[in-house]
Amino acid sequence: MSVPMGPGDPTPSAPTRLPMTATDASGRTTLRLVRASTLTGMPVVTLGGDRALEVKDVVFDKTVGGITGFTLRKPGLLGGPQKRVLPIAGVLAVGGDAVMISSHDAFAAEDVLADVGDDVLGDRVVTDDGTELGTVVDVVASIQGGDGDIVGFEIEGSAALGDEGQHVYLPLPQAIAISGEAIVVPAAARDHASADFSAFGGAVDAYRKTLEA
Amino acid sequence: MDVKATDLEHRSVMDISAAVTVGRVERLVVDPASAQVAGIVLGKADGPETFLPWASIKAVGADAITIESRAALRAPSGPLEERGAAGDLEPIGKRVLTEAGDEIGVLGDLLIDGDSGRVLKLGVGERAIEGSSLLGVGDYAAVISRPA
Repeated sequence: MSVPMGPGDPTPSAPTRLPMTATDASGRTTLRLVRASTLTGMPVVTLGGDRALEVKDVVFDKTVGGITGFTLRKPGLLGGPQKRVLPIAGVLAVGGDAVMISSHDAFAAEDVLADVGDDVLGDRVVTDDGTELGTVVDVVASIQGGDGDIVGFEIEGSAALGDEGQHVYLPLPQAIAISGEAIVVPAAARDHASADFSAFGGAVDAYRKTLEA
Repeated sequence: MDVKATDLEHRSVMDISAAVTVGRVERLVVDPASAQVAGIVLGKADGPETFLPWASIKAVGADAITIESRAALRAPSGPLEERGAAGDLEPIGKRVLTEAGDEIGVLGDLLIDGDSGRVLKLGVGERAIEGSSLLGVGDYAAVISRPA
């Protein structure tokens, strides 16, 4: 079996659309981490208080571990897809209840965000020493100041993490290797895995500090 | 005199030159850019002149809002007044979002300076938030500039 497994083996890939299906209670921490799944259906609201559209999918770039923007839909059950997208640079803030933009000028033509039909949900997470930690069920991001940084994954843990099937939050370094087949993380990341989303912001901080040291 | 927006609902608007009621307060139109009440949309008015600019009010009394003449009324003009007249921008009962994207409650009332029309306070639940923090009132939400 040929599996790209090393940090030295980054597989180039284009920005990728991550389909979201679930919407649940928002996870709020002081660092304002958001789970990507909670963004689907979130209203996009101008500072003028108008609901422009709502979030359909989160689009991110695997090569840089960042969110590049959102695809959009009209609110409601009959809301069809939209030709316009919302690049991350136009996002003022993502709160628990709305994505804030300054005005409709924040939207852009859909070709601004490359669309590649390969998503990270269900991908296996493997450490660089060859242990499979589980599969990705959600993406955790920090969105502020026009940037969206993917800081971790929610994974359904394998037996290697203790209770098989338990959901844990795994912090990520700034750069990781992602292919269509697997996501490789440093072995040390598992020491900072947390079952508690509210404490995850601290876990990401702690983990990334060890990388800077 | 300061007045509450909810107390103004249905208050009659009287033309004092003719001593007749020309309509009743249906809703207020707030201009967030200046944190002012731009004017009043009248219900039960005759004809298309349904908008009363706040600057044309002579007095906000306990029982009636008075104007010098019905010439003070005009048709809504421009996006703010037109959307306001259509009810899109009704502030009372609207959800309140911070600019950070968090909902903090529902706008229950406005405290208004009866002379200038300035919005002094926003009543959100038990809280009174400075009117100057208002960034926008749209079809979906009132947006304020900081978490209260």
